[in-house]
Amino acid sequence: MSVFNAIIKSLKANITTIVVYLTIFTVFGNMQARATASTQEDAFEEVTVKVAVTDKDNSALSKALVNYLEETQEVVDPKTDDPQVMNDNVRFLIYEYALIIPEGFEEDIKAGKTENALSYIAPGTTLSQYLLTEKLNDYLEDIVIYLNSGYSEDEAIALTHDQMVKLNDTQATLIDKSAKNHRSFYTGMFTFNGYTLLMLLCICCACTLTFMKDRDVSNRISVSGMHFFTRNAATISAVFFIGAAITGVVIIVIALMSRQYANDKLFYYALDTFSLMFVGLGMSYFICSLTSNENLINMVANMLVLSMSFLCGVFVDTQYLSASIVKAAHFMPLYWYTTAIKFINDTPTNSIICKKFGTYLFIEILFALAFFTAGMIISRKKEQYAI
Amino acid sequence: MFGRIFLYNFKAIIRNKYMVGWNFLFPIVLATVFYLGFGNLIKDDPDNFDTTEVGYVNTNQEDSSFETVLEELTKATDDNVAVLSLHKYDSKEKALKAMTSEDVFGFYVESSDGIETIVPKNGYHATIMNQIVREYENKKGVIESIAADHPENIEKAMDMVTENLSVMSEYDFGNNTSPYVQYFFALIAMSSLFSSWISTAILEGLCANMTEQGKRFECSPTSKLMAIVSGICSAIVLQAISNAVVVVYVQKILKINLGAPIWNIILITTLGSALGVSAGVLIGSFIKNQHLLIVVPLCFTMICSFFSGLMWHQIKQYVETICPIFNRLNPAALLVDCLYTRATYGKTTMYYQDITIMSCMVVGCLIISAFLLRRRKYVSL
Repeated sequence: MSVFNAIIKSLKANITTIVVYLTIFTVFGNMQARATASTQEDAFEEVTVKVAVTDKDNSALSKALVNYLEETQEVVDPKTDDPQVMNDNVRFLIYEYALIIPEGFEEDIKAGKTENALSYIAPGTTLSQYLLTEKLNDYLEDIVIYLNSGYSEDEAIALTHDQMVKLNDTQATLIDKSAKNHRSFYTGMFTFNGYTLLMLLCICCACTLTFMKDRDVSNRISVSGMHFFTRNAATISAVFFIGAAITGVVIIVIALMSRQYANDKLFYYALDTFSLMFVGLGMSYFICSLTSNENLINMVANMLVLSMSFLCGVFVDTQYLSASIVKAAHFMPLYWYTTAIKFINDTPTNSIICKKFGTYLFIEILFALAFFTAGMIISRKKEQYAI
Repeated sequence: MFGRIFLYNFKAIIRNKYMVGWNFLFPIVLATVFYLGFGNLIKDDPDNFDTTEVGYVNTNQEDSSFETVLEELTKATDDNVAVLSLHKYDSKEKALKAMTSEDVFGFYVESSDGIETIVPKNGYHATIMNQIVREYENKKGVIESIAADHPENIEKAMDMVTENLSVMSEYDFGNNTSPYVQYFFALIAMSSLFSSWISTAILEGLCANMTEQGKRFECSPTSKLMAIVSGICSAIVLQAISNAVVVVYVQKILKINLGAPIWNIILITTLGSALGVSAGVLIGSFIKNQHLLIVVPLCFTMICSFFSGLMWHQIKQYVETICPIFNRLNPAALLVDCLYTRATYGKTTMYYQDITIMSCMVVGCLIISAFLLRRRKYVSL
């Protein structure tokens, strides 16, 4: 028990790391999960574009146009007159579209000078750019056609407005039956957890194991008279206890944060996370067999886990990665963790326990064993050659 | 003497595995990982407009003007890709099957009751499909109104409907670099600020109460000013080399276009290295605790890098809209902004403003550090 207690106490040195990674997980994991979470819907809903409008004309026509945008889109203040700053805001999605109504716009339209009467700033040819440009073009085309067909300006504005209101009744029929089209809050949180949990386990457990490697500590334990089996069992159980405690805390944090989005799949996500815990413990053993220097442990853990997180669909969804990278990712444990999460997300609860899900968890455990084995071989060779 | 101390400092840094790992290896590994993760997104942004695969079922058994509109939309123009790719089906069931198996995103059913748009989920593609029907019905409505009120102008109106007016024009800013390149700029900024560790390590090596090297230095008849200046110079040279390697690696090996001439980027990153080193000297002159000499530069680098967009590329612009002064004070944000402005808009006022602020920061940090380190003797430590 004394060895077990000593190891648990040695964890105190890593308390800052634990707090930092848990904070990163709670803040960024939550933000990412909330941004991407969606559920199955019953009715069609139009996408609205966040558009910043600069009206330099202040005419009846420009006001009608702004009014139309306010009724159908999310109109925001551009906060600047500088097109370059607007471009930056659009590129970094402060808003999606910036519309500039130039001075003399109304006169130009009335005079028939419709070519490039309005200018806009958009982040390239995107879906939002196409959609809003089409809507604005459609609106102004109607105005121009009415004006050229014998209607007054007020009549043209009123008719176009009525026409647009009437068109709101044209709605698509939504047949939303597949869970594949949506990503639950749990999926978002547990996917991000792949990075933070592995980092926490690698750093905490590797540093704890390094503490046991300290010559002074190991000499004192050796002369204590404690049986070889007892002290090794205490070391192993302490490391597993740390792993299980960190994993448990992470799962509880997710469960608490996702109360409003909760579904009945938490158990399966937890199962996958505990499989990842074994990978984390295996990796930490492997890393601490490479070096006993805490700075180097930190660096190696960062390089390994960050690389895997980018390649295995934690930070960037695998659908955006090239096929060759996804193929390479098959040789990394985090890929199987994220694949299992996707499987849980896309499958009805009563069908999750199946051969496929079992295979994903089994592959994760195999990776954990591979890391343990590699760590043991390196440790043995180091001992053999007294490195 | 200057050259000798410079050389020894240079050798000492190179032989420090920890520094070589973080300052040389880590940025290259992270650049590779960014490339593998975002490389595809830089070349083919998922937000870019792409052709939507749609199905079409006509149960009317006669030619339809809506079908003609859809076929028009399948034609690509010089500037743009085709809006739709049309797949025709005999029945609604077949189209539904195609939608379920993801052969098409959604489909239209034209019958005597009108046009129905069927989609599997809400989103841009669904809204665009619905918008096409709305535009079609809108133009029908316009013609009907004109036919009722001003039948004499109906022909003119019909011509204008088919003419497709081009009312909107897009602002052109020239070089449109991908927003994902921002991650590489933030990576270079982080790498530059990592040099603050080098300077704290150099200052540590001059303190007799911290290192064995410091004790030996105190005994030697070497000018402290010369030792610090040569240390700073060696740190800047090393970090500048490290940054240049990262830039060349990103631009030439990973083939990611950073949007500006390579020599210009290297000059900017060299200024960034000087900024990181001088910030490290300032931190080192304030802090006398050995443990904090690692923790503070690390926290400083990571906080500055986070707000420059290393983990979330939008954050710098959010800060710019809420509190722009913070971006003018954050060295990583200044460096990222300088690289971004040069790549996107060229040598504008903002570019020169960033360079001026960074240069002033370098000089300011070194002057404050000189005051703090002045007359610090072994007896007063």
